[in-house]
Amino acid sequence: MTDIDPKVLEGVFAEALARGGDFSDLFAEDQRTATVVLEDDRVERVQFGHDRGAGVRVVAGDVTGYAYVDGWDEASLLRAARVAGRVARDRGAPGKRVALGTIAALTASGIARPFESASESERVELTLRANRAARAAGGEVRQVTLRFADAVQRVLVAGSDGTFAEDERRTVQLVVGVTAERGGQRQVGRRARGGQAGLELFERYVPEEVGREAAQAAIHMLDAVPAPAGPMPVVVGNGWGGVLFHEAVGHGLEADHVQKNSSVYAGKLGQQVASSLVTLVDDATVPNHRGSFRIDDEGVPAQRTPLVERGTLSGYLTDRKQARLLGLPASGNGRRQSFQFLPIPRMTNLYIEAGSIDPAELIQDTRRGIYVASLGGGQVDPASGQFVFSVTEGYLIEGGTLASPIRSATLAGDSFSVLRRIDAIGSDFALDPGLGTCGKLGQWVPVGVGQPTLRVAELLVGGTDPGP
Amino acid sequence: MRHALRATADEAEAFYSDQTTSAVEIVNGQLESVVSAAGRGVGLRALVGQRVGYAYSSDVSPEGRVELVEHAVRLAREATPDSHAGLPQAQPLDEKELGIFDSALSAYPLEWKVDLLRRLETAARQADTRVHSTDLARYSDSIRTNAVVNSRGISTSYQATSCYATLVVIARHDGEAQRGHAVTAGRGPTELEAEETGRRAARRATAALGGTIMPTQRASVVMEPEVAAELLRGLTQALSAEAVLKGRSFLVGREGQRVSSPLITLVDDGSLPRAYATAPVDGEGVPTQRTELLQTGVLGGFLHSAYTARRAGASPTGNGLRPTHRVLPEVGPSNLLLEPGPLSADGLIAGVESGLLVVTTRNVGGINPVSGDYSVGASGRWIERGEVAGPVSGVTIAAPMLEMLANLSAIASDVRWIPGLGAVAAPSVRIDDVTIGGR
Repeated sequence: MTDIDPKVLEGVFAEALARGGDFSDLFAEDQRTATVVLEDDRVERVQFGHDRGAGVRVVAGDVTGYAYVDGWDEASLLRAARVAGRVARDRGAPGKRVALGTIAALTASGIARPFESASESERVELTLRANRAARAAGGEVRQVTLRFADAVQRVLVAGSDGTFAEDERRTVQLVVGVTAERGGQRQVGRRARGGQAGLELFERYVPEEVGREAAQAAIHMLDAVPAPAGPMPVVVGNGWGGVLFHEAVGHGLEADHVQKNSSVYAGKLGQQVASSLVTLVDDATVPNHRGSFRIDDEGVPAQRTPLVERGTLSGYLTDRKQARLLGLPASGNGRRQSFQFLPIPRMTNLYIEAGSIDPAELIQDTRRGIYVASLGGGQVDPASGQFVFSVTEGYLIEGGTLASPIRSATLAGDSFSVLRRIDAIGSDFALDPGLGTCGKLGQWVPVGVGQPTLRVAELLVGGTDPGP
Repeated sequence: MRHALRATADEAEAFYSDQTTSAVEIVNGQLESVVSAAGRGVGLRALVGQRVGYAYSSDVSPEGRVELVEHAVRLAREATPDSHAGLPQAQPLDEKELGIFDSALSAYPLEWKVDLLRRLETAARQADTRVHSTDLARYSDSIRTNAVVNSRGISTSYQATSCYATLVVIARHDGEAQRGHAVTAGRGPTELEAEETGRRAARRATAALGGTIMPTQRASVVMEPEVAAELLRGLTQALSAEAVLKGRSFLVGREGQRVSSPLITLVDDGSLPRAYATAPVDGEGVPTQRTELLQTGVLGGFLHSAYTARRAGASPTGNGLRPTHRVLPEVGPSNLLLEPGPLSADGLIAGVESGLLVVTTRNVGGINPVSGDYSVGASGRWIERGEVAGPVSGVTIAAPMLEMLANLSAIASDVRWIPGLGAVAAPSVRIDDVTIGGR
């Protein structure tokens, strides 16, 4: 699939470890991306891109050397190996190597209609369908922005320890943003659908429905009242709502923060960190979901990692380096945006498991608070555990029923408080529909989240209305 | 480009970029990683009957280029014709010296870079004993060549160097930890301010340590330069002609109107010598310039690419940004400058009876350039009778952006350059009647 001769790889590792070093590996990547952008009722552009490159890493004691190059030709790979190997200078004899065995070539299964066999006009047609439906949803619609992208990323990981595997990741995503306007007030509605799939995904996610939903959300938000300010109960809707825990908890469980003692979760394995209702899992093996893969970007097999089990902290997310430093198993969470980056510990698909309460009851049971139907971006400081995320579609809850929509506002809290204050978990577990992308240290990777509807007894809502 | 014209494109543009980068990280004085790389790529924009196709690749071989042309021309046929589509015309270039290339950059050895990072770490630790450890200390530099050639006569290239150092420290006290972040950037290593940046990271980590949550209220806030810069970046998204033409800005229909306090004069200047976001031309070969966005509170203009200018009947402003060959130009800021006021930062604080000095915010997703809503997490110090008092942490600040612009009541003289996507030269600002969300 990736056509790099194992003999070339053996030569690369010989060069990389010529001056010493404990370990070397190579990450080669070939990515092809097709993008359609539609706005102003026009297909603005159709775009195709191709990236191919590789990076060689050398680990010598506590120091890592890394060099990457465009292309896969032998001369470039050897040059990268030589440059990366400089960190090992004066460290004695050449590093040990294990011969490469048979490659494990993996690929996403269950893809019925891969995009290679789709024409540009089929891609364009998906955006036109969503656009028409969004425009027809109401007279307040002023703009519809659509972006469709599909990518095929092929990766090869080979290591001086004998690691030798390939993976193929096929991501696709349709994003619809609608601006609605009434009396000079403007609001946005956004829907995105994606996964690791082919064209068949849009039989499940009908483009017209995605467009219409985004437009209805934007129009609905035109009636929004100023959001309240202050602490109150917050009910978070299922599926994409799980991004709250991605920010509030997930990042703090990434082992680089733990190893640097810059996470509130450092040293807390085996301790009660959450309400006993909470079980939190990272799972790269969910079939065809956005954060899934067969091997991570260091060649470690994908796995399901329980992180919090009935309130007790049971694991961290590691890459190979952090696993070694912390004496933990490699959990298959070493990920990178591309060959231009070193791998770091990242989440894959992070979710909270289902509880037993009827979600309708959960709202009826809330006297005053807000219901969060959709979230925007979020951010956390793992050292303090303080986090924020923005509510893009929210409603007041008054006397146990949903009332007015509220203008966008930030929710703020800290990690332990939010986990302790979860006082009801619904039975309606869902994964998000494939829209997540997470940024860390300048690297962006696709992720999934999931949860049932749940309630946090108290969270700070950062609106503009301080109340009576 | 010539391949594309032969292949029946009406207009064509090739954008080429190559870059050599190096990066070094240390943790608590010890070398952690060294990264070096060379990369290049080309992007081809083809117009066929006023329809746009785009293809890019890192394969710049003759065969790769032919494939690129075939893709771009074929893809253009799938787009919708747009009477405003087209490439910019060649314009005379001002030959002034911009000072964006430091030929000495490649001569700096690894040891020098490691030592620079150690100076940042040391400065942070010496600034405050509660600074406990380093979360990240990173130096990075790059040497880049950009070239644009199009069928309307543009043929331009330039070289630029840049380097930056960033420090993230963890401060601890009484079982609580806070992170503080600061960055310094320049065209060459001598422009980096190690000690000042280390102290800044320490201050941002410690200012709100041990902080309490204040009661929910309306009050004045004083934003430090980093925080003001974030607000200005959010505002500038609404000042993009693309957002305005497409109805995606809360400033639609307000051109020529007063939209803020008369204290605000905001300029974008991509031609400012030595600044971090300066270049002779933008990502489609249009000369950069100084553009007045707000003039004493009046909305004077927007940022334009060649496309938005043609569509709006305006002149391009050289803001068609292209961070890599992987993207077509998009409207964005270069160097943003908020005109400073006469007061010191303490002078701003002295005018506040009771309010919040905002040192850091958590703002991802909290600034909405379409609806104009602003709501972010904040921490800093309380202000009591004109003086800085105890630490405050974990609150929110929120107000509609138009109200914030109108209620901006003072600007300080303490301008600091904040690098990022578009560098911002921001002073501290005071804004009245903001909702502080707390307990």
